[in-house]
Amino acid sequence: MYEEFDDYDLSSKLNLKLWKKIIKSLTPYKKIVIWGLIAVAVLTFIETYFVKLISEYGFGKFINGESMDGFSSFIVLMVAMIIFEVIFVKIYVFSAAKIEMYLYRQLTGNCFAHLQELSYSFFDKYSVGWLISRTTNDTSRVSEIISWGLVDAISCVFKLVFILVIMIVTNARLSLIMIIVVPTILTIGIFFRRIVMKYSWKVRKAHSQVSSALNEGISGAKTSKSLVLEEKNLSAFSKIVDRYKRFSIKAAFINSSYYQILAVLAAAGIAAMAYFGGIEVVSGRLDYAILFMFVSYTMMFFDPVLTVSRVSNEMKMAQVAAERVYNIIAIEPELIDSEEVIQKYGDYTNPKKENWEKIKGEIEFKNVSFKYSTGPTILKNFNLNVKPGMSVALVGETGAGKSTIVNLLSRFYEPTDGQILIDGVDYKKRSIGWLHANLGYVMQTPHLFSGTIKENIRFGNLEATDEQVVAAAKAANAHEFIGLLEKGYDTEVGESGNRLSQGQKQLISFARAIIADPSILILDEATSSIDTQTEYVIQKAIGNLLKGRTSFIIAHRLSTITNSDLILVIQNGQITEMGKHEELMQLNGYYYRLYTNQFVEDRLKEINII
Amino acid sequence: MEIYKIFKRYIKGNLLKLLLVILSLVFLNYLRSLIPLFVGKVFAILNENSESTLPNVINNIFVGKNLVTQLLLVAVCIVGTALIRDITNLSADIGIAEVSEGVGYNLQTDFYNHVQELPYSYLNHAQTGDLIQRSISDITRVKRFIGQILPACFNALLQIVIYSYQMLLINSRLGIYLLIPIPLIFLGAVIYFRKNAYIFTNIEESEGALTTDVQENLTGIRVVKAFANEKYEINKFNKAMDKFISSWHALMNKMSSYYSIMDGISYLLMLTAFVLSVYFVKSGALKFDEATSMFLYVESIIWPTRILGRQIGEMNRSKIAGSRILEIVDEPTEFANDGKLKPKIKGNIKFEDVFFTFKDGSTPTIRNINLDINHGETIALIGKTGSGKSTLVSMLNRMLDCTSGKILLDGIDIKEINKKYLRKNVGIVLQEPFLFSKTIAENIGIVLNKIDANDLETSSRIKSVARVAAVSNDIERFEEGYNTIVGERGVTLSGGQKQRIAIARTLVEYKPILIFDDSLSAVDSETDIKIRSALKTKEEDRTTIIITHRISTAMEADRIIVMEDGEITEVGTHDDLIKKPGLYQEIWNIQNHFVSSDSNESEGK
Repeated sequence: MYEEFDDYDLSSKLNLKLWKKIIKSLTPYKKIVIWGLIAVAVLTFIETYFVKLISEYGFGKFINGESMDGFSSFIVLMVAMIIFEVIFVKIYVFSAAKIEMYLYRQLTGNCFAHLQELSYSFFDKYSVGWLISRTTNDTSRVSEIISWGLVDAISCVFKLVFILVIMIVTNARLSLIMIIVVPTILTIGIFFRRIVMKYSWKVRKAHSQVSSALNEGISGAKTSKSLVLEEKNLSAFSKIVDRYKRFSIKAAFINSSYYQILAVLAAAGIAAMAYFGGIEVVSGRLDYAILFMFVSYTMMFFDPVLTVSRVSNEMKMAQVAAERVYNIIAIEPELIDSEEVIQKYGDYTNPKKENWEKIKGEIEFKNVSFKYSTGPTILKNFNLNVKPGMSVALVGETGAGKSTIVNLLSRFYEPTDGQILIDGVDYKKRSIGWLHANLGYVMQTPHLFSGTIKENIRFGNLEATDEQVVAAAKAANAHEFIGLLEKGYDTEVGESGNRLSQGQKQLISFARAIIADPSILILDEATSSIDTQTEYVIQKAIGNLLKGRTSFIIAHRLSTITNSDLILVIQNGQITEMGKHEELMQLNGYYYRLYTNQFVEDRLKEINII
Repeated sequence: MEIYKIFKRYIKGNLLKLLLVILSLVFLNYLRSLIPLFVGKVFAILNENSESTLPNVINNIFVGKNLVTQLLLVAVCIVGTALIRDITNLSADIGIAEVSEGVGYNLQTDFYNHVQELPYSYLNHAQTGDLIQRSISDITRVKRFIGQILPACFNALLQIVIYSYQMLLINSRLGIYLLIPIPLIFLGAVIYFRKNAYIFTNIEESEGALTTDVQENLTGIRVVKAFANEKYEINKFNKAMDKFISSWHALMNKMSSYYSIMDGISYLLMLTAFVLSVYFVKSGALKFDEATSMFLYVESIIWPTRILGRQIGEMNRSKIAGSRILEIVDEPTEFANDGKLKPKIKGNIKFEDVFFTFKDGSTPTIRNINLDINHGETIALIGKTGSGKSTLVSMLNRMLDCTSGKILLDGIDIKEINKKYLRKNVGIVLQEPFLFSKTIAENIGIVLNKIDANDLETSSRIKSVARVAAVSNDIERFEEGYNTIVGERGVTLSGGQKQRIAIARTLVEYKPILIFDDSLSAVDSETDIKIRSALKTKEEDRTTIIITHRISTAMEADRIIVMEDGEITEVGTHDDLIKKPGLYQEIWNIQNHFVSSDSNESEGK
């Protein structure tokens, strides 16, 4: 789903600092890393030595020679080696997998935890899809390449060195062949691999275009039908798939040529070994069996060289992915409490609740101005005083500044100028945690989490008892529908609560806010139409929700608006009309028009016309 | 089976290529099997033994040459064989890519087109997310199967067969002894992966749960922050992570055992090959050079066996993906029963005893509709939600087909008319229109054949319909104007803007019948009036049906039709209907409430 966010620009240079950081993050797993390295060393030794023993002794002495002395001890030795092989393969796979797992857990966990700490504004800048891609795909790529890639590469280097050493010690002249062939293959390999990677990247990009075209075609299928766009869509889609197809074939061509060129070179190595080795045997300088060993070793060379060139390029991909993950972790939250505030009130991992003042709920906006880091001023010299327990309805068009006001009050953002006082104290002088513990936020589109209804309600107050959950549900008018569900409060709500209707989700989110029992409540009413029956239930629930709290409501319901203590009409970041319902109706301005339109709509809704 | 069906259906145009691929794979594996023989030949030459299981054509080259020349010849043969082998390999790889991408292309485009052509009612009930999931991950899985797993299996099988053949050729008795364990290793791998398939499912599930957790957290981060539940969320995440890690652990436990045992078996088999070779050589039944070739064969026959076993053990997963795709492409399209006629349409509509029942419904949604609409007439359709208004108009362009009765267009039964032709003549603006990720100009002109910003005629046409739809001012306010990209990846538009662009899009070509399915509801009543009056001045001879809840819209229509519970309950002009007690009068009263109090400002509430 999120592949569109998975581009890898591979042109970046080697970032040593980053690699140091990554290697350093492995320190807690030193033991496993060491075990892995031991296993790799033992395995390479066994794999190369097995060949040496079989050819030199096995073929040389027992097959070619006359005597069978020591045959049985030879077999015992071989079997022992095989047993070691079995044990150490297990250790090897296990430790590589463990390093991968630990690294993944650490990276993903750090990234996730850090995201929890970042300010609200951060999430306005980055899309959820992009962030998910970083926390899951990138972290898993880094950990996979670091663990398996590195272990594979190390094992291959070991193997290459090991074989070369045995060869040089046995016959230096013949090993010259390897000393020429191996670096050639390696250079070509690494160079070619880069092109291969470039193409596979192109293929991935083309694939994500296919995916998004499919996505759009399916989502818009009904519209396409009504406009008779089927043929046009198909031909456009065919072009995109065809492009992907051509790229894939080209990538397959390049990938295969790369492999074939190396395979020919490897065969040339074997041929050279056969010829020169044969001559050495003829001239009596080399034993048959040793020649067999050399040929076998030459054949064994091919795979490790391929692996080394593959891993060296994969490391680049890992670097790009790691850079992105570490960059997120390095981002500082924009809003943080000052040192003194943290000293007194604690931070979010370690709140000092004993120092938190009780809140009354008096709110004052004092000359508050606000602009987002880029963009025009949204709020200018905004002043407002709200007594504890008062309900304030904010009405006005989208973009007029209603959300900004409640976001500032929630301290998701801070004023660029001016102050917000709660119970007479600038809210920056207390901790964000303190404010949020006393503030409830009910969003326009309720967001629930997978899990049961009970868990979702309890999200508002993690220490709440089952009785409190039921009481909150009752106050939110949700108890009735929950009772009708087969599993009641233990009903799974599905991903993002999708198994419940919009109205039901809303009631659950009310219950969640009620159980938190905040002194200040922010309610962003839903605009979407809901059937009359649910509408009535929700209206009643809102009454309970607001009871005894200072509340700010971005309101769309007439009942909510008319029942509130103060109505603010916000236009272009300014209060243009302010007062109680009757007062505003007298003005015969924006509010009057809004009210009359809404009134007609509500009546039509009542008889089910809209 | 499912995969085979898909393969058979979508191989078209690639059969010859497939045949060539198969042939080249056979040739490739044969050439591959020659290398150990050449290595054996080296030792045969050194032993002055002229026998070899190499084909005679090749073996005869060596006859009568001196030792060094023979060695040189072997070297040349190895390089030569490798060269031909690798060229064959390259062409086989390209062939495989062409066939699998060809099948993938056919599959993907057919799937796409098929979804487009599925009946409207099917699309209405289908989960878009599920369809997209199938079209992306299931197709990718099937393609991977066809493009990678299948060729790899086939290749492995060929390698096993040809290597076995060479082994038997060298020494049939020794060959048989050494080949006995091969099917056992294969079966072992198959059974192992079949039995442990659940672990893969587990890990996929727990990984999915972890991703869902991250996704839900990040989408709901505002809720998390508002309730100061960051710590709780981190704990929840850690739990999901632990679960994932533990299923991963289980998988690695099994996989490491698999690898280590398989490795052990490979080595044991090599050791056996060696030990047996010793006895065969000692008894004179085998020569040194033959022993070397045999050993090299054994070494390289185990790997393909393991691959084959594993892939076959895991085949189930692709099978499921295949069946999920077939479920969609086997669904009949709506064009399975299409009409042929393409008459010129004037716009007279006649409903005759029309009933409509949804497939899964027991009571009809539309009942007993008898109605005559003359061309050029404007009809307002008004009624409660769920009364069947949308269903009724959906039958006019055959998005839905009436279950009984007849709908006539200029006297012709619309079931006789070609669907696409019909839809080009019956324009409908949906209530929730979908805009494509293109520029606004491209969206409006989407039905036109050519959209060229420099083409004055089309661009002025686009601008003129945008004006009629009262959206031109909005568009011009965007920085990029008509070139602003909208849709999922572009600028977010308001519901009203979307609706008006959709109206413009429908107007860009003349349609004798135009239907607004409550598509003016998201624009305010003033804009609504603007659009309707612009449409009127543009008056071409057009039959217009407007579904609305606004009296101000309805009152201007030639006739108003009131629907309740799938039936027409009132028909008439505004002046007729407000006099009769009924739904229309009720709506009128509500909407008139403030119209009258507007003129009478003293009233507050």
